[in-house]
Amino acid sequence: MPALALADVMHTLDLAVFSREGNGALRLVGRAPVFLETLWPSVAKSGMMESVMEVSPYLDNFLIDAETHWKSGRSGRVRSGPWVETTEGGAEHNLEATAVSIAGTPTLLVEDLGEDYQQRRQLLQLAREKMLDYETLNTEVQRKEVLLHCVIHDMCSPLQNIMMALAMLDNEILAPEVRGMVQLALQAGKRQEGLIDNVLHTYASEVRSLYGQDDGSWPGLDLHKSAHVVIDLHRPLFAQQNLTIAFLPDGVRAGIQQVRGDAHHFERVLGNLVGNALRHAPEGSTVTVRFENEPEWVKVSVEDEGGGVTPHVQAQLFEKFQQGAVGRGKVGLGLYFCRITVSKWGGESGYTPRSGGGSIFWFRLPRNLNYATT
Amino acid sequence: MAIKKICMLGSFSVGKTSLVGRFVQGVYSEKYLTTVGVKVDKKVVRVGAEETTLMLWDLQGDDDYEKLNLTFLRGSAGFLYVADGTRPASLDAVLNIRDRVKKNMGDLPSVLALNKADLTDQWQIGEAQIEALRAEGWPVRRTSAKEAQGIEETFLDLAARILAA
Repeated sequence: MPALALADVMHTLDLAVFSREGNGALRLVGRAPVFLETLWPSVAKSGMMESVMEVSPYLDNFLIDAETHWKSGRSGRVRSGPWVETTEGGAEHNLEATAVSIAGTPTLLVEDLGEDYQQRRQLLQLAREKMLDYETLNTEVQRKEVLLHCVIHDMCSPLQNIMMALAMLDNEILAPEVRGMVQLALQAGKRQEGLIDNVLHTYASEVRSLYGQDDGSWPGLDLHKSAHVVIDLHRPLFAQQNLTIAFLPDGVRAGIQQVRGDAHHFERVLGNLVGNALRHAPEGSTVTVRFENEPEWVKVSVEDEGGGVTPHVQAQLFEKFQQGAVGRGKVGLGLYFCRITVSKWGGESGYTPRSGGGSIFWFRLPRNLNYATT
Repeated sequence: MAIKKICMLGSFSVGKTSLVGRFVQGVYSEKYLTTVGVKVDKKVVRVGAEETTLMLWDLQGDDDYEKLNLTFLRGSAGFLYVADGTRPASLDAVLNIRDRVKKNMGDLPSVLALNKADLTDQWQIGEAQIEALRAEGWPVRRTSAKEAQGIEETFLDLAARILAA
């Protein structure tokens, strides 16, 4: 294509083409596109950007990467990512620069992204608004689950003690009027138990289901399948952060295992731990989901290679109503949720620093399907 | 006049752009408009007898969709980390970012702004947590871009720390 026609194409595409001069300045090649006349009129007029830093600190920073690319002699291109420049009048332009070598000449293309930028922003905005909604909803649901659990626990425990004391009293030799009062109190206590049951049935179906089946008929759990569900769910996020997720099932075989728990809540517990690791693992590192066979337990752990958890935070990690973080690895209600869920199955959960740096969050599920719950 | 580059760092929707908007232009918008890429603003401040130009790099929020590009931090004199006091996860995110930044840039002056201080009934970061962060030697300030609280002080505090470094 003749040089004049190429310049016309660039102008039509609203693309500024610069060549890098020996003194570090940028020379405009061909005609100045419309956006350049509005944004940087002096550059458009003179055809030169003498001090890139003064005109655009962002572009000046990108030129370091561009120089590396030009000097490498590699083909292909390096992109700056989008940035915003503002005209004297306050109008914003969304730009992106691309460094390429054309016939050995270091060349910089600067493009006004216009509609493309707006579309990208809308998509990102939508995704982030959904994340905010999800975050809010998740926090609210977990808070309510925990609150309800605590309220019910707080209501049940003293009532059981009172009922026990009253039953013992009732077995003693009492004056008739006193026995009447004790039996009245026992009846009131039973009514109270009924009310709590109603609360559970009416408002706490989620809390009841939280603990899975509580009638001793545990069907066992396909741990491999659940681990894969969680890992597959997180895999895109791991890839995006250049993280590897490894699954080491040790001697724990695939198929149904005789351990307490239900798949839905097991996946939520494991998902919480994997999600935490995802947030705290450094780029390029590996997060490992590990199963271990122990005589009476199956141990499940999630290891990351992050900075670990400071000792003063470790003690509070699994406590309820821990909001926000003081140190790494500490989250709001997620770990408390894990603890009460695993504990209700008769299991244990905990934190161990990883040798060589990082964290190991783990829980144990009892193999004995008749293991008493707490 | 000295020019000092400061990068605004934090999760998305914590108010980085609003803090810069309030500090540089004195404006605030209720509407959340996510930042894509980078916007650079400048403001001349006086710290003691000295006038300094603060070059503020407002970087897009770091999340699962867009990761922080560490090349943007080159030449920084300091960092203003921003978390949303109503979203504990945003504080987790800031701590994570701080680790990555420290690893790449060393220990440069920084201040943590806990933004949205006007939303007192939704505030979720406890005083004990704030004190624990301060005990680590990290200056923590409450800000509200909406009500223009603590913003000037936060930027000037960071500027003073940068000049003293």
